Amino acid sequence: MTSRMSRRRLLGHSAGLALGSAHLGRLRAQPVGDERFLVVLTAHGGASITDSFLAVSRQECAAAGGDPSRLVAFDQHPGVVPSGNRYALVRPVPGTPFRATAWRGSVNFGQEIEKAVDLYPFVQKHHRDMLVLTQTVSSVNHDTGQARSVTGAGAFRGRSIQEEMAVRYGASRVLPNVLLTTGSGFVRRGRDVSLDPRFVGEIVPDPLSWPIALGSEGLPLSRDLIRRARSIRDELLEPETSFARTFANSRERERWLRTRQTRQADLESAEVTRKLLLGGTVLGAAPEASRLREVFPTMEEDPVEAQAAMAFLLLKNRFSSSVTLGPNATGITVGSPNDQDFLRQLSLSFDYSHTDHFSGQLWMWDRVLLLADRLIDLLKAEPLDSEGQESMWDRTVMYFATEFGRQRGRPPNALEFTSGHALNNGVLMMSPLLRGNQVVGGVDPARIETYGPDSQSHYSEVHAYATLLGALDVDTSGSGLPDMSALVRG
Amino acid sequence: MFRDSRPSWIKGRLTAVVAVVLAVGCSAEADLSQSGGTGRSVPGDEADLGPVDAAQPGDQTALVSELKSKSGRRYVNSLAAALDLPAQTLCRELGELDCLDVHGISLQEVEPRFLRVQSPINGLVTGAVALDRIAILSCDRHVRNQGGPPTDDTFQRREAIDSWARRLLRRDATELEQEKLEALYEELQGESDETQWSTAVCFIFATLTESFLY
Repeated sequence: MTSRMSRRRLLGHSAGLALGSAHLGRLRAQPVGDERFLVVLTAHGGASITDSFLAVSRQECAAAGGDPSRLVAFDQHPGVVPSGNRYALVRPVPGTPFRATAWRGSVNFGQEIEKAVDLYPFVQKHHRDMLVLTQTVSSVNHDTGQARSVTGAGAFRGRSIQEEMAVRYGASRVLPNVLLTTGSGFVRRGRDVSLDPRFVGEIVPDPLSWPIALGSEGLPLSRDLIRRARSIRDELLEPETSFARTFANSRERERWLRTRQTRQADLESAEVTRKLLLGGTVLGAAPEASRLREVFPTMEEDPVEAQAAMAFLLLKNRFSSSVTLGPNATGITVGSPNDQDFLRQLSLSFDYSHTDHFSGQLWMWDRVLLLADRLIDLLKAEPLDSEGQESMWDRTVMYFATEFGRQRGRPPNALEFTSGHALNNGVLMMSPLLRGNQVVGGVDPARIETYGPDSQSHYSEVHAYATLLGALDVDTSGSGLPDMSALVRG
Repeated sequence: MFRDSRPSWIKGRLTAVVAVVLAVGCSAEADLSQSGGTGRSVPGDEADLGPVDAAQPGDQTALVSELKSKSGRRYVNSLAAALDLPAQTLCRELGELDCLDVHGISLQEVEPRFLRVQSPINGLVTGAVALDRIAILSCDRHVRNQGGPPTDDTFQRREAIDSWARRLLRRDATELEQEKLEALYEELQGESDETQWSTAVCFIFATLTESFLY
C-alpha cells in the first residue's frame, strides 16, 4: 500500500496552485489552520530503546529462555526509592505499553561524578503523546546512520524530514529550516540538488550570538543609511562593474545577489534579531527571554539549553517550521566539579556507551528527555492562535532521531561494561498528531531484540520517515512510501 | 614518454579547443592596447564562438565563471590589509565579541573542536548579513582611528572615492561610482557627519562582489 493524498492536503494543493501565479518568490502567509511544527531532537551516538521504553527485566528474559546475566536485562524496580549506589532497574508504567528504566552510577571525570536517573516521571507525564516504533536500521556508521534517520535512508527525493517540512510549510517563514545543533549527519543536507535554497537548513553556531547576524542592530551606521548604501550598491553600482559583466554567468555571484535582495531583506523587515535575542548583549532581549531563562537557567553555559530556548522562539514567532537541536559529540560541563549536575552532557553523548553502557544510555536519555519535557511545556503553554482552542504543541511533532541501537551482550551480571553499535533498535516520536501511548512492534525478551509488525519482520528508517511525514501532512503520493496512516490521528 | 592512445577524433577536437583558447587569450592581450573594438569572430575549425563584444578586456563575459567566496578569515585579512589595521582587532561585534567568533561559520570557517564543523558550509543566509556587518564595523574602525580622506570640496571627495576604491578594490572608481557616491554625499548633507559618508562609501566598496569573490 502507498500513501494517498488527504482531502485537506488536496485542498491545500489546489489553493497553492491558485496562489502560484501571484506568488513572487517572497513570503506568503500560512493559514493558521494548516500549521505544523517539527522538532528534531538529536539523540547522538545511538540511543537504545531497550535501555529506555522497551527495556526487559531479568525475570522476563529468563522466563523466555534467555540468559539475563549475559544480556542487558534490568533488575525489577522495587516500586519504592531504590537503595544502593549502583543499580539498573526497570518497571512497567501502568496504563501504558512502556517501560521506564532507572539507573544510579558514576562517571570518572577526573573524579567520580555520581548521578541517579529515573525515566518514570517522564513516561507518566507524556505517555499519551509517545509513540515508539521498533526498527532495524541499515547502518552502524554514525554519520551515515544519522543521515538515514532523517531521510528515511533516502526514501523520498533524498530530502531530509526537515527539508520536506520546510517545503510544505516554510514558504511563509523567513528561516524555514533551522539547524541549531551542528557536526552530525542529522543536519547534513539531503540529496535533492533541485531543492530551493530557502529550504536548506540554516546552521546556528551559537544561539546566544546568532541573532546579531540576522539584522543591522548595533552597527555604527543608522539603519536608514545602511539601507540607502545597500540600495546604491545593489541597484546602481554592482550591475555596472566590470567584474559583474565579466562574471555574469557565475552561480556563486548570483547566489549572493539573490540572498541579498530577497532573504536578507526579509530577515530585516521581520525584525528577527529583536525577537530572537536571549539577552546577554547590549541589544536587549526578546520579550520571552526572561521566562526562557527561568526554564533554561544555565543557557549561558549549556549550549543545548540555549538551542532549546532558541527553538521555542523560532517556532513561536513563526520564523521557522522545522528546528533541529540536541547533543552532538561534545561533552558539556556547567559550573564547577562540586556543583550539582556539573557534568551536563557526556563526551560522545550516547556513544559514551563504548566506555560504559548504562551511564552512556541512561545519563543521556535523562538529558534529552529533560530538554524535551521543558520544550513541550513551553509549547503547551503557547496558544496556537488568538482563539486559544489549541496550543502550539497540538500541532508539533517531536522526533528523537538516533542512528542505531547498542549491542545487548555483557560480561556475566556486569553493571559496568561497554557496548558496540547494533542495527536493531526503535525510535521515539511524540505528538498529539500521532496515535500515542503506543508501541508499534515488540521485543523478544529472550534476545532483547525488537521486531516489527510481527515477529518475522522489521520496520526500518523508511517507516519512521513515512510516519513523520504522515503526521506532518506532507503529500507523499506517488512516493511508494509505506502507508503508516494508521499511526496518525485523523 | 607516455603513449597517446586517444582516438584521433578526440585529438582533433582537443587541438581545436586549444586553438580557440590560445586565440581568445591572444586577442584579449591584443585588446589591452586598443581603446575600443568591434565585434569579432574567433576562428576555429570546429567551434565558432560568434561575435564577442570586447570594448574592454573586463567587459567580456568569462567562459568559465567558477567564482568562490573568500572565507571569513580571508575576507577579514584582506580588509585589514586594505584598511591598515591589525586583523586581530579589526572587527568587534557590539564592541566586545570577535567578529569571526560570531560570524565565522556563516562565512565558511570551520570549528571542529566543539561545534564539530569540519568542512566549510556555503550558502547560509546569515553569510550575507555577516559580510555587511564585518565591512561596516571595520570601515567604521578605520574612519574613527585614522579619519577618512578629506571631503571638503568636490575635488577632495572625488579623490576620497578613488582612494577608497584603490584601497579596497585595487582600482580607481568608475565615473558612475563617482557620480552616485557624490550624490549620496549631497543627500546626507545636514543628516549626518562626514565620517558617516566615508564609512558608507568604504562599506559599499568593501561589499561589492568583486571584493570577496575570486
